[in-house]
Amino acid sequence: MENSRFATRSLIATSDIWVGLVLALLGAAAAWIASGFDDSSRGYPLGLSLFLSALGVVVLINAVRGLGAQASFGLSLQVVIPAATIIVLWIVGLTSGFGYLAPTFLMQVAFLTVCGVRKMGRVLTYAALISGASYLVFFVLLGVRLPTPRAPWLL
Amino acid sequence: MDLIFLGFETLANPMVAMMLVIGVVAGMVVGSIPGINDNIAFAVFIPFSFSMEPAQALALMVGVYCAAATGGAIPAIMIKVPGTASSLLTAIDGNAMARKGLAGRALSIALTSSVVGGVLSSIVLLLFAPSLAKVALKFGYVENFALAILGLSSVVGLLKGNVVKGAVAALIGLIVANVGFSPVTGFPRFTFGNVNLIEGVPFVPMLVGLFGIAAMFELMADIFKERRAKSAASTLPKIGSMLLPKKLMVRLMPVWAMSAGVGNIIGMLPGAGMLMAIFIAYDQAARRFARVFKGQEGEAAWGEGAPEGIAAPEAANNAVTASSMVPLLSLGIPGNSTSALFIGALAIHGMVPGPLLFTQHGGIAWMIIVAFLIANLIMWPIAFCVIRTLSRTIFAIPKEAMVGVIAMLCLMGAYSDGANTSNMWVAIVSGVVAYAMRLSNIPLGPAILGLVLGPQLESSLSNSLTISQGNWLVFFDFANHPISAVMMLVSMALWIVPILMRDKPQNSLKKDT
Repeated sequence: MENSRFATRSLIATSDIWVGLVLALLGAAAAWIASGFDDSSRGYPLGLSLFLSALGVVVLINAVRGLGAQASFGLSLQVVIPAATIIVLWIVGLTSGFGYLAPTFLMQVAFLTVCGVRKMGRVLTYAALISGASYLVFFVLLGVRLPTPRAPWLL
Repeated sequence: MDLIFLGFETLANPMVAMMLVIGVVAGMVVGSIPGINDNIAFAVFIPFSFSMEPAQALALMVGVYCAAATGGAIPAIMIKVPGTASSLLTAIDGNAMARKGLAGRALSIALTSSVVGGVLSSIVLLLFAPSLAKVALKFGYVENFALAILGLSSVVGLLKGNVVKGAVAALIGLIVANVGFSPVTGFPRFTFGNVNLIEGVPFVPMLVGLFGIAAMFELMADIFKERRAKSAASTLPKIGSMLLPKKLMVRLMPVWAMSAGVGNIIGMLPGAGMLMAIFIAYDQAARRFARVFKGQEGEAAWGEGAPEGIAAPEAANNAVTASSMVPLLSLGIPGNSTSALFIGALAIHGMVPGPLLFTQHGGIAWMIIVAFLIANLIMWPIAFCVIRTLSRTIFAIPKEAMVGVIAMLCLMGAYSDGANTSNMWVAIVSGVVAYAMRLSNIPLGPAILGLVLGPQLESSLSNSLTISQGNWLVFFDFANHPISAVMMLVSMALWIVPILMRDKPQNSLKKDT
């Protein structure tokens, strides 16, 4: 009983189990979508998708046989979740008409804090310098156009 | 000869020449900052290159590409932290020599080796790319399909023990390349009704995400790991004299020749990459060192400051830079991931790498070749100035501040490619996917090649089958398409040989037991 529990746990910890599953499902989904294309455009993407699905199954079988990699995604999730959240909020800020400077300043503050800069004075100084310098480069020097801000005074 | 002068003439334009010099300085600085590399610099730069003349943009990229490989050696030697992955092995003997008070000599060996490797590889590019392009001009649909298969097979086949995941990566790239109108019928595929995907996933924002955003995630993970390990900051050694004794230069010549040879061969193979070149060159240099110098009086042990341990990887990594452009410029197949980024830069100016580049944009094609040679020649004095003036300031830049800067530059770069906000979403999704692939041990190189070769593969397959009335054996037809038949057989060998080689030790082990 203990042995089977241990075996199940180590199987779940094998990253290739999940990788194989995701690939097999992605391939199957792509094949299903491709099957709806017209006759002349269907064959090539359908073949590729089915091949991807089959290779996903191979990765899965290799993992079950004990040949799979055991990568830990713990640290990666700690990186991707906050970073992606900060970036998404920044994009939403930019596209919702809050201008460039305020969202960028807040984004830099967030990144510096998440990355472990503890002194608030340093965080605010770095964030202000980066935001100001990038504003000059993108808008004054390169002339990049952002979505129209809600108010004309919003830079 | 006239064509080489055409390249020189394009490069002689003051603005183009200035961009090359700026590129070398920028590459040296970028390479010197641990965690930042030429891929990130390109990912950030490519979208903005739209506002520049093509020759200026490409000259700048050549400068960055050549110098970043060299710049990575500076922190590797000074603080034992490789600035780029290509300087991984330089850190061992380089830092050991620096700790003995010979930092100047170690840096000088690294720079001279890089210049030698780079110049030799530029000559290889000059000799091989135009000749290969002439052959490629004769290719029809059948040969183009076989060429795409050969390119993909060489990437996957060279991934020792990782063939399945290499194939997975190539398939992911090929499937993503299917998004948008079918090149055969114009039917919209995998667009999910999104108008931004009708012409396919935008290439430049995708490159920005795959290289820039994914690298930002990696840098952040490094910071988290370092914070847990609480590693103490190391003190910088004094640089001292950078003069290289004549005797030492004579001693290193065989290593330079051998390592540059290894770098050139590996560089020309699509997907083999810089790391493979530096490991092979380092291994060969270690064997030579053990045979010739080991145990001699006053000689540092291998790994403790042997000059060959610095010269071999540095000559090899710079030899990869120009030679990786041979398949790209002549056949349209990138030699490695970084050279794939040149496709983005060329595409933004309406150019396609491959044999037609030499006939349609001869000035640009030859300028790129000549720029590699000049960039390597001007690298020594520029590197000397950077080391003497900027290196201490560069090492003082906090990594924590770089994370937000990279994210902002990448996303603004993606946005400015058409001032389209959907490009930012493409970049972030591509970045997450690339990071997940790296964690899952799925290599990025074959995926990039799949993306690049996808449209060519499908249209040439479809046209070949139409011409041959559905006969799949047309690709193996020695009578009418000998080049295609040879390429297909080589492709098959690239898949089969690694599998046979993997089984060989097991078989011999069975025999022994």
